Amino acid sequence: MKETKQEGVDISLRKFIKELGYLAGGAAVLATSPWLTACTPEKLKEISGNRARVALIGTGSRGQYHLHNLKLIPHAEVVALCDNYEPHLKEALALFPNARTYTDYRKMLEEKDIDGVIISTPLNWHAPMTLDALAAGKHVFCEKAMAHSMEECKAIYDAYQHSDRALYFCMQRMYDEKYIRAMQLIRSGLIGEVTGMRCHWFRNADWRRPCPSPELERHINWRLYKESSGGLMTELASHQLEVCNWVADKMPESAIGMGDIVYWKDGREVYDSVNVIYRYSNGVKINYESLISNKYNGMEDQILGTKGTMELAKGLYYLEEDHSTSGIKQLINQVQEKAFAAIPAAGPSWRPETQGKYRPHAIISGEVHVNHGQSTVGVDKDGSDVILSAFCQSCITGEKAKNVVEEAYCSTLLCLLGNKAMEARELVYLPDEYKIPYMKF
Amino acid sequence: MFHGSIPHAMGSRFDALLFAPRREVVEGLWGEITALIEELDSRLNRFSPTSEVSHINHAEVGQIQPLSEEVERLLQLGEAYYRQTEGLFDITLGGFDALTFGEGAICRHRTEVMLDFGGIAKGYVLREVKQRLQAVGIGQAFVDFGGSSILGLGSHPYGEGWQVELTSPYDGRLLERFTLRDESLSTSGNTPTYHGHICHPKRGERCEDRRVVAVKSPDPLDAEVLSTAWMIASEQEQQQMRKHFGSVEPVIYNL
Ligand SMILES: NC(=O)c1ccc[n+]([C@@H]2O[C@H](COP(=O)([O-])OP(=O)(O)OC[C@H]3O[C@@H](n4cnc5c(N)ncnc54)[C@H](O)[C@@H]3O)[C@@H](O)[C@H]2O)c1
Repeated sequence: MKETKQEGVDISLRKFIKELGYLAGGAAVLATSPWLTACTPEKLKEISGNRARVALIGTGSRGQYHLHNLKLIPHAEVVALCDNYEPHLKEALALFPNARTYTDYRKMLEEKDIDGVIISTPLNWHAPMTLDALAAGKHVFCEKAMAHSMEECKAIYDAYQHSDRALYFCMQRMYDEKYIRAMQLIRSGLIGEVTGMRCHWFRNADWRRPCPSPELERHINWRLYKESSGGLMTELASHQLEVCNWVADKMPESAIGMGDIVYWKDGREVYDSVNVIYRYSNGVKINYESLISNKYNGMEDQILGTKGTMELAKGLYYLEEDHSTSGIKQLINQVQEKAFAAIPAAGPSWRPETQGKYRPHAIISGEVHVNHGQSTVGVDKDGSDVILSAFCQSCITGEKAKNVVEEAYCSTLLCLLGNKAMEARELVYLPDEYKIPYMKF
Repeated sequence: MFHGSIPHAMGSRFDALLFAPRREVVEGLWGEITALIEELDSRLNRFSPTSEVSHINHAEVGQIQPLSEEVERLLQLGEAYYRQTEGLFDITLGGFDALTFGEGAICRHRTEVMLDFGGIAKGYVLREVKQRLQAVGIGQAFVDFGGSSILGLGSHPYGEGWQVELTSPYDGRLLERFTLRDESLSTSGNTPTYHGHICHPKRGERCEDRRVVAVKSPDPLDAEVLSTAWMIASEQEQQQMRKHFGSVEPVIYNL
């Protein structure tokens, strides 16, 4: 994705999605990822000249990240900003000086000139704000995770069934070119049958934000307290568990895990160390691990297949039996260095130089945007701008994004199930009352 | 220089390095090449139960099945090679005599007949790629399909032709250095982990020898077919085949 401002943030991805249909495994990706089918260059042309009038609630770090992206989306206009913490509201106003400001989101929702609302507030506010905004007739784009409890998730899901408004949750991997291309390669059979998944997210930081005065502690450091946060599971694992379900095209049935506060014993209530195993009905498991007192392992979504391994965050894959040669790479280097030599290209599939070693292959050629997982705000070009652009498109066309709410619902329920397993310290099953028809087991 | 690659098509990796003054020409052509490979892959894939070839292979004996133009063309080519190789190269695995096809329809007459385009598809793709490159005036390119089928058009920007090395799959020893100039190279052989996959259609025996065959030819498809046929051909059969393939001379490495 090396497109310029004038073209919009997501042109190259849109072109790629358009081409997916004729690539091996591409049709299967489109069938299981129907949210992508609205993301084509043609759709963008159809809405050209129109602008979605959007308002943003929660102008903290993620909110401001979205505001920067909105500047690059030609079909978006930011008309209002809302936050109940003045310093953040001021920072946002500096980015969009013409926007109206509010401290009470309910007041803002009364305004008729707002088509869509973007919500980037702490997790406990997702449900009330999303439900109120839908009720006020607004299209809604809310940050992940979906909500703070299974009940709240179900309430949003039910409200959405009866609403004609579009609703998105910011699960940006669903719109990340690397991930989409990886899905295509997985469906084409490149790594064989998927038999396991390992996801992890490691950081070495306390997860605290500087707090100007003690009475603001719970407002600023909402991530650390159970009343407003699901901890590492809802904050980090939500993205990764969605990817696992996308790969598996189904939902795990049960979870078992352990969570502890191992190192950051600073009065926080959420775990700083989590290990959860999720099990699908066919025995395939997701092994999830997150620890924030050592960052050596970074962040990765690893898909294990009988013929190969995908490291989705790095955009790489490895084959169990690598029949490719390094010939093409050598040739490219030669041409760039104006050199000429023979290359080890020909031969029936076996190469002593690579035996026993795993050679990394890029999932997408060209510039690859890698998320090392150390930023708590977000990184450039990880799909966040694309999903936001898709939302603004929906504000204009009124079209819902297929399956985005369902995917967010499933992955958030898994996060909450993981928390439940860790609290209970036993094997837990997804309660029947929260199962929805979308879930395949 | 344009580099296009498909990580997984027809069970292998496909890489193309194309050199042309105008980027639009190359990108358009690359789109055509991917479309061609993807389409053939989906029709010929024996492991996908919904592919055209699976439908044909799993139909009742005697039942008439529809046949696409592309697959019919490949069958015609396959039949011609079957005759020219004295029946050694057989994509039906049971003989063309037990198969009727033409005008968009096909019918197997014996259960043993199972279409397998694995030995012909890559060569066919390279032949098509070569023609399409030449049609748009691209005379400089290097195309590698799975390491065992390679096409070199024109020359490396800093050398004469394109040089590729063939090494022994058993000990990595250099067997030969080939220069390709508007030519392609196809190799077949047994490896320590993969052997006995080439079978003599008439005698039924598998070739288990520690052997590699390399064939250089202006026609990528000829090269592909001969590298397989030579793995199992007797002296006498080789003699017969030479009549049809003129100057092309396969090289056998007994390792
Ligand atoms: N998708 C991603 O990759 C990603 C990355 C980072 C954060 N997030 C999500 O974004 C959301 C916000 O995270 P953040 O890091 O920006 O937090 P933050 O604390 O920096 O910002 C939250 C903002 O919401 C405001 N707020 C709180 N309650 C409010 C209310 N009732 N009315 C109006 N404003 C209110 C706060 O004053 C603050 O400015 C969270 O849900 C988080 O999970 C997502």
